[in-house]
Amino acid sequence: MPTVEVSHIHKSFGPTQAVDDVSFRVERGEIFGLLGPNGAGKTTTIRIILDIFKPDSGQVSVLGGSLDETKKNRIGYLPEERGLYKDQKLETVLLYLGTLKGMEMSAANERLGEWLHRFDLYQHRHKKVQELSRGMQQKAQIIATLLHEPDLIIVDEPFLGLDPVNTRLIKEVIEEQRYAGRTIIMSTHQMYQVEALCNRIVLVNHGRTVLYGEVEQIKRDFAGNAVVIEGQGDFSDLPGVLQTRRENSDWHLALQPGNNPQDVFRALATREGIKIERFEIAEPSLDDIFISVVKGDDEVEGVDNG
Amino acid sequence: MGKFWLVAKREFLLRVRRRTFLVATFAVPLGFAALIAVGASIAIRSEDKLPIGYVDNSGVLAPAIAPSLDEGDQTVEIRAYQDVSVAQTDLETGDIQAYIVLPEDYRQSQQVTVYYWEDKPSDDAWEAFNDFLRTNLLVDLPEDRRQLVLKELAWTVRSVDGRRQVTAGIGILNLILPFIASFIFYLSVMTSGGYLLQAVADEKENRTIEVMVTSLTPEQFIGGKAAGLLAVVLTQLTVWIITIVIALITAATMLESFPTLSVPWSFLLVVTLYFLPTFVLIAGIMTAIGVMVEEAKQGNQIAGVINLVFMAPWFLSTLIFTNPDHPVLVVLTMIPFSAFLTTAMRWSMTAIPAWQLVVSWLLLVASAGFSLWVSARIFRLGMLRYGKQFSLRTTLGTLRNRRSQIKPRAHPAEVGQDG
Repeated sequence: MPTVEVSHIHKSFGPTQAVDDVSFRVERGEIFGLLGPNGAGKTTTIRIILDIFKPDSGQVSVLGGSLDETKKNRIGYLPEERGLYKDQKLETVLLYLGTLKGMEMSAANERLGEWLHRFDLYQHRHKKVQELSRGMQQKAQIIATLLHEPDLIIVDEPFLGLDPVNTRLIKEVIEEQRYAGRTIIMSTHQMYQVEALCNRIVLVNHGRTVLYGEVEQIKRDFAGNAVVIEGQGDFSDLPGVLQTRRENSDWHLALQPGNNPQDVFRALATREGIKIERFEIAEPSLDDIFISVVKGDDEVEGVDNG
Repeated sequence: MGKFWLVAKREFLLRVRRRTFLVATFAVPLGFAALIAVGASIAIRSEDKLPIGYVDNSGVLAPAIAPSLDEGDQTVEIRAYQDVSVAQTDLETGDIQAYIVLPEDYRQSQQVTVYYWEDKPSDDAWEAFNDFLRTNLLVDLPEDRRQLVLKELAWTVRSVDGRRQVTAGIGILNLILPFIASFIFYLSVMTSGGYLLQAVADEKENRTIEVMVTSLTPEQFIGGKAAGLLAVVLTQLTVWIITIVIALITAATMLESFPTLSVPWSFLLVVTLYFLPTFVLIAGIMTAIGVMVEEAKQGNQIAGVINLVFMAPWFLSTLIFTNPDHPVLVVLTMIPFSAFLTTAMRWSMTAIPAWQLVVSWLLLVASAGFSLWVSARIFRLGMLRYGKQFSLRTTLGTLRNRRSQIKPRAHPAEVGQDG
């Protein structure tokens, strides 16, 4: 039985279709990536899962059925709009949030101490939240999400505003949660984190599902949609190429769907002033796939997503 | 502990630990006590027990019959002088506080001349001399008739339906106290409403609402807050009432002339009946405002205007004193915003017809229910509208939309930072 099952949900706000027939399943014990550009409908989808919004149509099943008050205690949610009570002490705020999730005060107290030590916040526990740095507040919010040991963890942009050290720490924590058998839905723009952490992903654009499946399988499916070139000259603005980026001495070219490396090779053959030293069909990164799918989708739609 | 009580407990502790609460709760009674002390000291000072003298040139006071005193009555010695110069000397040496000269034609003129230094003769001195003068003026009457005239008449005014009665001698305090009490009660309701607005707006400002609604129901959230804040105000009120009661008892013990007070049970019943629905009405309005505004400060400004509407009856105090059954006041009794205060203030001045009370209370309860319903809908719509103004059109659109419980009609960009 999946932890979360979303079936053909629709949600509109006035004339705007925010979510349009999105479906996916999140299995127990996996890290699931909910991806998409800004305004794609990710947060709306999360809010529908959490019963903050009702869908216009479609079904959502969470932890084996519709969401009720008991199940709320089994969910940890890190919203994109971060917020803690700024004029109160850190420890007081986190204990209050823990007890609101059904924890006994003594258990919350004990567990909170461990988390605060781990996140280097223990010595700041008596400070008011507003006296903490943004990164510290971010870590505190993650503690609030995990303190009650939820079965389902939903994190919206968990690495936002964190330095590399803390990013690694949060990454470790997320992986630990997976090993502990918990289910994680992660929404982020940082594709390399998705690539490193997620088992499966769904990519939504304009409220619709445009890609869904296992990360490795998707990468295999998209193999051939990117090439790496080493050489001299300008390799930008080639026909059939969605995006060109330079990494060290290499040029990475993400191809439009329907174009293959042979087309690019032929185009290069006709270009003046370039010298090719290496031409290689690359395994695309999730970043390349994201751009390829989203841009391709936008071109089909004839909409500039900005 | 249920989530409702967790929220209530947090709100309560949060407020009562604040310095502003401690100052408001204890400074007001201290101020009141200081006021009573000043009043008492003035009253005590006015009770100068020095003798008062008189020089009778008219012969009216010749019988020199002392008035009969009730048990426990304290009086001031009345000293007769044959000569004004002797009385003047005694006044100058401080043996007497004043002396009164009755002219020869007193019976015709009924005028006397009073001589004193800086302070006028005390009330007790005046009273003693008046009793003495009246007793001697009525010397020809039989003893029982004389006593009848000298004693104050005890009369009771009772309304036709028998629901209200006022007894002479009880004093104006018994009329004014419910008036003040109603205002204090009302102020408490408004204050707790203001706190609620602040609390909801704070949640929005702190961006904590999204975590809240995924942890508990809107009813637990808003209801818990309202209960906690009501408890704050009731705590404050209790401290005030206890202080006032202690102060009144102390004053009554210290001052013999302090009027007798009786507990206005019927008034308390009316206050109790109106208190809760009025609180719910205000709580609903304040919650809606708290959700609609972007910052608590902005909400407080709107709340200020709302407070004025609720306080309207207070501005008509004069009318309530002079004509408590005026049609304007009857209308204000019916309007839910002003029902509580108008009813409470009219209560001590007139016998409000039963139909007015029933209709007014039912309207109040209905509007309180409507206010809750509206605020719940606005809360569901507005809780995630960060950084956006809330138009009247959107609000009305929400109220008309009966289809789903949570269905904001807004552009997604208006509903938070959608990703």
